[in-house]
Amino acid sequence: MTFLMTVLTTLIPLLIVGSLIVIIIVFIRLWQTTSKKVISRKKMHWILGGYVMILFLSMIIYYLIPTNEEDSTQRPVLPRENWIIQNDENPIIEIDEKTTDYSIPELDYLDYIDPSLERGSWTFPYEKESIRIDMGYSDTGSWTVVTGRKNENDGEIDVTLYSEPYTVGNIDISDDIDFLNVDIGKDELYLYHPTEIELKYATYKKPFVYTQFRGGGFEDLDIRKPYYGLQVVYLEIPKDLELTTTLDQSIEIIEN
Amino acid sequence: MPLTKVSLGSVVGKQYVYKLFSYADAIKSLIIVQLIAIAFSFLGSMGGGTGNGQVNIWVSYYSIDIVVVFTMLWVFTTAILLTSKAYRYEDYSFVTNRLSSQLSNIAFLLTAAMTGTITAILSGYFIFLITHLRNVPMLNSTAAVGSLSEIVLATCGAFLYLVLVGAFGYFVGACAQISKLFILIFPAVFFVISIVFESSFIVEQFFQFYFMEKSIWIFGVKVLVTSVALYGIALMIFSKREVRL
Repeated sequence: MTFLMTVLTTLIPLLIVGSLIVIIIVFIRLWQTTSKKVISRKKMHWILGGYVMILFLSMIIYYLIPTNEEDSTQRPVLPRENWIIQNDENPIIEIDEKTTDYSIPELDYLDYIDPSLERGSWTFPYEKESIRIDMGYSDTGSWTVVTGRKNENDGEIDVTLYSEPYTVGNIDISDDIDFLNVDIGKDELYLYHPTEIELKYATYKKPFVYTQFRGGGFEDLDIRKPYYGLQVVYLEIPKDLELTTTLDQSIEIIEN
Repeated sequence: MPLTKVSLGSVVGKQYVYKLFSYADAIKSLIIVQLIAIAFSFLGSMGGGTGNGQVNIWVSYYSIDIVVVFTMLWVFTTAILLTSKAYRYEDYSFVTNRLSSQLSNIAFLLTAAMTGTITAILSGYFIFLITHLRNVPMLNSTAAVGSLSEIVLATCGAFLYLVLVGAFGYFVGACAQISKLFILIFPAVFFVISIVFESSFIVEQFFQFYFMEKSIWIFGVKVLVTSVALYGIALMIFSKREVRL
């Protein structure tokens, strides 16, 4: 079986390349028999010159097209230390860079979160004594809920969503992401992703006639390793509101 | 006894200029082949996808790799065709000998390699333009073609590959003039080596010798030496051929 596979994997490319060579030869031969053997210099110049002209025009246009730095798909990612939800003196979330394991130690303040990481905020009036936090089924992705109690019973639940950037190949694609959404029901607070999204991008790979000598080929592209940022839902609930949950993960509560 | 004496250089030069225009079919086929390759670059562009259940990301790759490979096939077939009887007999329109005929062929092949290289590298801009017009969301639009130093290096690399492939094509064509069996022998040898000696030390060394060479200068020397050897063998083969009556 292995030998057969080896034969096939060798034979197929050989046949494809051989076919292409035969096609090119037949093509040139046919052209020779159906057209004048020697074409004039003028005509020759027009054919080759026209093709080269199109290519050169493409080059000129390439250098004339301005690159839009504000475009989300072209924005380089923030330095990692600015991403998060952490501070050396008073960490909110610590990141283990090696294992990308997130842990929440002592939660005191969220003052240290980079404001640019805020992805949305909601305020819901709520007068009942308890509320259950629920998540849309089969919802995956990395997220966590952090809750803080207010000093008073003001009858409102404030929700703020933070998220690390989503990146592909060191490019921030956060603007294309549908982050967690929040809604309130009869006695439930729903967290859900609007829909499963599919993002399509393209990139230019340097030719192998370059990468052979300088590296940076397909195997070196880190585009195949996107980073899905951690989303943090920060709830601020009235002082005496009882909190329950159906979530698999625990909810960190900041007690005053 | 001839009244005028012509030098080898002037004969080669005249034949070279003649071939540049009389072999225009080859140049026209280059354009067609590259346009097909550019189309393939879009249709069959490589890609990779991943997701976390909520966000699925698919990234396609655009490159001039296919254009370069197709140009290699083109220069290979052009080199073989140059050794065919039809092309060789055209040389008898001139005052010629085997050496001048072969040298002008080699000069033509080098010009073809250079033309193929320039158009292949420039096709990167054309591919960029098409992706731009199609509004494809690019992750690195500024790296479409690369910096000047990258372009120079890619151009040198592509040219050297085309010279090597052209020399190999000429060598294969010359062998085929000895016996048509060589047309079958070369693919068969390649096929057998690929299977029987798939992971052999020799094949690995051969692969690394050319395709894993990291220095453009050393690669250039390797290509030069190999091409000279291949052209030299081809010249020897043609010098042993019978004269046309």
